Amino acid sequence: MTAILEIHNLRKTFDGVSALDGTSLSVEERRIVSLIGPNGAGKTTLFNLVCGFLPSDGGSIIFRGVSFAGMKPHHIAGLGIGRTFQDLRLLRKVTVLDNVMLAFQHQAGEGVLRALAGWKTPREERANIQEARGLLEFVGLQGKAQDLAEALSYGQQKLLTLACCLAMNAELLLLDEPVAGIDPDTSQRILHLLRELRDEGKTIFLIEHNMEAVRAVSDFVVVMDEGRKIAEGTPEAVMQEPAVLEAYLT
Amino acid sequence: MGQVLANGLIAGSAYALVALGFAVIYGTTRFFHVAHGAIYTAGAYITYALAVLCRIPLGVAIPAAVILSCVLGLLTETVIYRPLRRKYAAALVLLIASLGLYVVLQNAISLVFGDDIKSIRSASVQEGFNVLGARITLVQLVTLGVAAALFVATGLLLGRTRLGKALRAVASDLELARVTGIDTDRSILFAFGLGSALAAVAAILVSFDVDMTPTMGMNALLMGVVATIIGGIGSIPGAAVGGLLLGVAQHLGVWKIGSQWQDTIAFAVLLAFLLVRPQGIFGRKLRKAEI
Amino acid sequence: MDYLLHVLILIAIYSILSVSLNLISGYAGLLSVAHAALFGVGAYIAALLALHFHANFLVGILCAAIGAGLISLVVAAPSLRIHDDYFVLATFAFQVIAFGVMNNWIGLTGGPMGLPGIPQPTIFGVVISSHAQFLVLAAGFAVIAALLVRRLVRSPFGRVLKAIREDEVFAQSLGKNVMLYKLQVFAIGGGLAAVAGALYAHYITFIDPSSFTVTESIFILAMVIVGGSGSIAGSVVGAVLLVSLPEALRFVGMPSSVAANVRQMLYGGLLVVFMMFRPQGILGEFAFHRK
Repeated sequence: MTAILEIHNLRKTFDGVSALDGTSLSVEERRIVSLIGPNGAGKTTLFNLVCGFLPSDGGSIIFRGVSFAGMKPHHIAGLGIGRTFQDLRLLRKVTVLDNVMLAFQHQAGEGVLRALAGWKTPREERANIQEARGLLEFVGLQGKAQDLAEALSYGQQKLLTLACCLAMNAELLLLDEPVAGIDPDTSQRILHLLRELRDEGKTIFLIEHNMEAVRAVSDFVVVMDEGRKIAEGTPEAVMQEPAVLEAYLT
Repeated sequence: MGQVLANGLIAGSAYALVALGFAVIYGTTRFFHVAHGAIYTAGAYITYALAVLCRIPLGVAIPAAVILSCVLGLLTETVIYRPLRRKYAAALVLLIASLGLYVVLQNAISLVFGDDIKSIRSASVQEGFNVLGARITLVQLVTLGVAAALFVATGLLLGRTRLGKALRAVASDLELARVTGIDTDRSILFAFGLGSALAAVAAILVSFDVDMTPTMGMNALLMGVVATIIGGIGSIPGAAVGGLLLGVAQHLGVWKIGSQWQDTIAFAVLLAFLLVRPQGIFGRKLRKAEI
Repeated sequence: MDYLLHVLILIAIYSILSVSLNLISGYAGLLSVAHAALFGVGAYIAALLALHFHANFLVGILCAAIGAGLISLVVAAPSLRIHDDYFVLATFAFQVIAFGVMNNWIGLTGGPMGLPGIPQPTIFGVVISSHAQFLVLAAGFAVIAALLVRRLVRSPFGRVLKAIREDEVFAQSLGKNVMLYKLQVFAIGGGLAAVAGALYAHYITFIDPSSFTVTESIFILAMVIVGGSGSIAGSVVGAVLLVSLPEALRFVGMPSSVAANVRQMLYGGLLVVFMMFRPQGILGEFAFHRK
């Protein structure tokens, strides 16, 4: 299996405080890889660096052989990386359907001239609406298309962000705490969806604190503490390692 | 050349004072109190009203005007900004309200006093002294001195007193400050009071040099804002350096290419900084989005 | 009757201004106080082309729009590189400096004396000389502008704008080149403002810098805010309200010297009141909150 994402010696400091201190890891394609570690280990910072929201202070990020150095976030997203955020970013004052519609790539109607001239866009829009509804059904949000995103429950909103990643046709999904703070049923549904997506060929790299979920869904686990990787392996192996237990207790 | 530099430094010190007041307020409240420009103008006009219209001696009129301007600034905070903050209004909302407030205040001044130039200068045009080859009038010398003194005083106030430290805490992290028991409302009031007083002093100094008009605050605000950005948003020494730098650059530019380009030069300096070093000289690296 | 037509023509021209500013500030969420400057740029370009090159009216409008669009890009490109809240400051600086250039580059713009004698527009050989004819012309352009903006905001392009205004990090994470959208919106908005400027120049047949000040920018902003951010109908409502209101003042018998100030205080006050009690405006949907 090839590595779809390779991170070498990544560094990041904020105002003199080191958030990432030479992190190296790789994510194999068609796998569900979980990134765990105590608070402040640098997991979300790592995600932000991979997605281009923060510049690194050293090291490299390589996706399918392409280096991400200096790339803008929208460009990275366009290469096939979907992302959800810890604080659940989405457009609350916009309908569920429009949130998903936004995620489709290469829409002709998003260009100024096409938007004004408009002779191709209605057809494209209709096709996208069809596909968007299909995705909403896939994640279990059928019937919610016209609701404003803010009317959804927290769990449903997380499903929506997942639908957006799918609309992007992303190969690699970076999910920041996909099942945190939601009810067990929706949690199970999300984990089930993740497995389905992996089986369809997607790669999932997720951050989680919920160890049960991690155990249930991961093919591989990477553990971080204080800005670097301290262990990696199967969920069972990793959770028995003394270094890992120590990191969580201190 | 020496004269140009001197003029630049003098203008710059006035800019620096406006920037300082603006920076103190921005540092604590994190929005652009555009009405600061109107408080500036009010400082000059209240002095005029007291000194010229009511014939109160300058020695009393000036401090009274500074205090009254201070009160005006405090009113804008208590009546407009604080209720908005209670509703968790976005910074842009406060900014827009501040714009509206500026317009109301500037026009109020225009209504009451008229649009023509008013003066609080008593003596005729002064000859001035010769300092290191440059001609400086007494007023200009006083401007430099007062500005320097106020900067030092403000620095001490913020660095050494308890109120000052509370203000700095609020400026660096509002939530954290509140959690540690600091009365954030009072700190913000203090910032408005201090900032408004500084603006009033700057306006009075400038009026002694070039008289006053109701729109003087607009230009002063612009210079203060540019100085704040090039010095580094939220930085006190930055306000000083930014103001002086702007004043000198402007006067040097005017000397070379003519006075009609005064404002364009200010924009050019601003643009240069936005391109090369948007956080200003002393500012922290600004992140585009909080992530 | 002629007076009524005059008011309607002004409403038409200001509708173009308010709709185009709404595109920038209401839909994309980029608060700008430079719109009057772009209005002025359009007016001066059209006037100069007509006066010195006897350019055709339509050619003049086109050049004005393109010129202002390019200038908007030049201003926005560096300004957008800093934190969004500071973008307003950059537009503020640009506005004041543009006014300075208009006022001081006497060789080009006539300075405070302005440019008189701008010819009335000629369309396909017909001279537009009466108010009624001009109203048709102005209303025509206003309708085109409104439809253009409406088309844009209802398209996928408009969807991205709304995403940018609510959460631009999210928009970026979906692959949207946020900077490019902001630049485009600013250029289009600026171009439309210039169209309004060209119309204004040919209508009043005399332009001077005093029509293109910061307070004018705030006036246009007030129309957008009162009418409703993110609503095209709202922009028109805002234009109707804010243009008619001061005209109504004349009938109350207020002397014209006072009326100008009172008019400004009214819309400044409206800005403050709306921000405090209804930030999304009468018909709008966006209350300037952002992530």
